[in-house]
Amino acid sequence: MEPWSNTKVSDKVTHLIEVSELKVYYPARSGGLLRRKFVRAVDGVSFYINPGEVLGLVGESGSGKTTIGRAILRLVSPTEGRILFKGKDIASLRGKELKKYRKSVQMIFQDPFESLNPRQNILSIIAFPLFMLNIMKDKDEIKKYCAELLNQVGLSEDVMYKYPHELSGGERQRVAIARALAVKPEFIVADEPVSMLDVSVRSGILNLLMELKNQYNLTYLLITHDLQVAYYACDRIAVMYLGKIVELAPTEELVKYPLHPYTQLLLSAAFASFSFVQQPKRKLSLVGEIASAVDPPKGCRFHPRCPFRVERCEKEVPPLVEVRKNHFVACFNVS
Amino acid sequence: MDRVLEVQNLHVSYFTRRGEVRAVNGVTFQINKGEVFGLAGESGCGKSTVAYAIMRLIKPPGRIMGGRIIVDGIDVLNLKEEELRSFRWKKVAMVFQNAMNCLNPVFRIGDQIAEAIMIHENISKREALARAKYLLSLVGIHESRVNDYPHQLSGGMRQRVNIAMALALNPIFLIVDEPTTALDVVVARQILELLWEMKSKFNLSMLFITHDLAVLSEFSNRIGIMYAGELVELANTQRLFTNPIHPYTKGLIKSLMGFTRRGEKLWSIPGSPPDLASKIEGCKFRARCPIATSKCSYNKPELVEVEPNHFVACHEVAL
Repeated sequence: MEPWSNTKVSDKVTHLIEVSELKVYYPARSGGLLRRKFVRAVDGVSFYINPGEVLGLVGESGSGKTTIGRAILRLVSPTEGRILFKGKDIASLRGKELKKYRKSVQMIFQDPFESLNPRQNILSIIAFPLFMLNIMKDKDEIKKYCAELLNQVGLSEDVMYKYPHELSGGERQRVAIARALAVKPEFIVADEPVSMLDVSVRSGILNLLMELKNQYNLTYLLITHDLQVAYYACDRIAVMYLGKIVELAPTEELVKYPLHPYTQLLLSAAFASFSFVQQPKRKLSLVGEIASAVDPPKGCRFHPRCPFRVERCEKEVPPLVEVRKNHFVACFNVS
Repeated sequence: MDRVLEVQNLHVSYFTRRGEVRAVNGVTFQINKGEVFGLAGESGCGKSTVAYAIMRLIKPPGRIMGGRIIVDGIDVLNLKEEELRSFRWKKVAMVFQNAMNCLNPVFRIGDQIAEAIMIHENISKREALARAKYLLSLVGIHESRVNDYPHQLSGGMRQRVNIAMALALNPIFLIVDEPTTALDVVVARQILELLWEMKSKFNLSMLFITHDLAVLSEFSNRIGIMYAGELVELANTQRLFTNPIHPYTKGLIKSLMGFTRRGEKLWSIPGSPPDLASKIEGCKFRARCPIATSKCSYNKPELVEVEPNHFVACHEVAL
């Protein structure tokens, strides 16, 4: 059992978001009615996010991090488990309450080339949520507000009459941020907000996200596969592998004392450069790729790739336990 | 030292409705045998166009407007269509950015590699398939997957197949265009390590195109920095990182996250690259340059050698 899920802390409304024992399975096509299979995209994940905090969700493609983000936005429904927003189960929200929730949470998607409608100009793109959620109806008011928003994200207001194809990747991502901000959300899920962008553009977008966070007192769930990005932006980092959290700790702690072998692997990949040696510095000690979530390995899901595996790892699933203060790890070798 | 590649004063333009876009505007560089040369710059700076020109893959509305490209003594721009066949993939092979899209989804990967071999060499299907298997094992894919279709492979494995395909005809020179950009960090490292292994094993020379200077810092011998279709700085890797001279290079290096401490504001170069469809007098970087003077607006800086083997195109630093 995740250590905090049964404690009294979770009953109070101190957390903005609380996810407990979340499972999201997608049906997978396979032989026969009786042998239905599922992609276990998220398989029992618990964490919380405090107001004003940036939690990083780090892992490879297929680890389930995006699915968690989408579940929090109610874009996919959980198979099991609960998601609480300010203490309220979001699955129970209906009508007005749901609309209010939709205003409070927003998402920034990975690919600004696909998340913006190519047939709409920027003004319509930003105005759409305002219409939909009955926030603003007056055209001049909307234009004025849109200009304000564009300035906020570092774009000039003439951009509002342009179409997405006229903008560069970085500019498009800024528009996506402006659209998310338009409804004055409290919580933003940023799903790989910089991974499609040039390295030189990334820093501008990350700076912007941090400025906006401070200005509007926002809370973020930052989803990324790059620990460098997470290291820079997050207060705490949760490392995911095949639908489970394998390590969760405050950022500095995680980078200085990574305990799970998978975290160590990610760290060595993210911070390997800048060595000036004429050869990749050292061979990654771990090989292979992430396994399929349809038939995840028994026991610890990381064991087929793990150099430190013992017999127990193949049979039992290691629980996430607190081994240092606020530092949780799911590994038999550590606990 | 032997030259594998010489690019001299290359000009490539795309003719669009908005006019002529000078994507590559007078680029000159050489690559020596066994060397990895990195070409870096932001999206749209023309680095991929240089690669496509070397492969003679520029299609209308693009056109090579001038210059010379010499690969292993062959004048590439004067090759006829039928001569190109024995040049592409045999002399120069390319690994493309998008690992997902450059394999044919309806053919088995083994067949695709075998077919590439059979087009160029007069060997039987069986021999070609055996070679395909060998190539796949070389890049770390088990031979049992030779009959898989591309969709059955992960992104990293597809990129491995692309590398196997590029090596199929024993080229002497490999162009890799953002080989890791679409991949996760861990898989990206594995691909980099594979490329390094292949480079050493076959004594390949390489043109490595990327927007990520961090990758080049450990992988390339020399680096050329491109901006708006022109080379603005060229130096060996260590020198470029320890003594960057052009303000654009400095900005790029400063914006690397690895050099920023947590909590500090990240550095980014203000502004965006100019529109290459309009004619720009003087230095193209001047609008974003912190040290630009009036000279920069009418006089185009040439690439000059500021220290041995270190070339920079900037009025303010050239002596």
